[in-house]
Amino acid sequence: MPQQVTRQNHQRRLQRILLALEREVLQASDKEVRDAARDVGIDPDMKGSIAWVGITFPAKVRIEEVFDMETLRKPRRQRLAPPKKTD
Amino acid sequence: MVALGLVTKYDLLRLKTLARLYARGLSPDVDWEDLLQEALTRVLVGSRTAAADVPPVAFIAGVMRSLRSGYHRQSAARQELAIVWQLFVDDPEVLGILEGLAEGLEPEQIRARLGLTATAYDTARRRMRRALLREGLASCLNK
Repeated sequence: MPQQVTRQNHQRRLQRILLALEREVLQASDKEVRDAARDVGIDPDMKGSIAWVGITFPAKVRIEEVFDMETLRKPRRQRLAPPKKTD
Repeated sequence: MVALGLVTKYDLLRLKTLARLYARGLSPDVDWEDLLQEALTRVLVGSRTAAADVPPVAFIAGVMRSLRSGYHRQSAARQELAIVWQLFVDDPEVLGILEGLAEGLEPEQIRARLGLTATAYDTARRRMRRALLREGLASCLNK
């Protein structure tokens, strides 16, 4: 029982902290956001800025975005075989 | 997204900072980008709709927080608190404020406990915001 109470206590503390930090970030002015980005060498106003990774372009390339997974799942011999003539 | 008028360009950076904060301590299968994109998708497709008086950026942040709870493992709360604490380890005043917030204290009570003037309290909050934004916007390619 005390262990469960402690766990709930940690959970409650975490929720309060995250909510407070969320409010802080939402209240930050555009200038504060821009200044913080520049602190770490990022210029959000520059074209193609790394600030937009994960927002306007993905942070990671997913294999399914590059390859057709259905084709990859087929046996190699089948994948590499020339297409059958239908005519 | 900006073209849809949902949020401003800088709102997206605020949301990215929060997504990175919320993704800390989650399973390696779920990263901040997943959290952000999932929240934006839910709002765009209308599976989550905001009350009229809630600004869109605050609403999307709330959706991310709710998604995070779904992914979150209860037992990890203590470790996650430690991770969040680590962000401000060089700033005892900010840590004192966070401790007060974690206990559910009001700003006046926190100021009294720490002996801070209203100005000093607001200055510490600005440092907190700046540290959080720096962390959220730096090392964008890492979780």
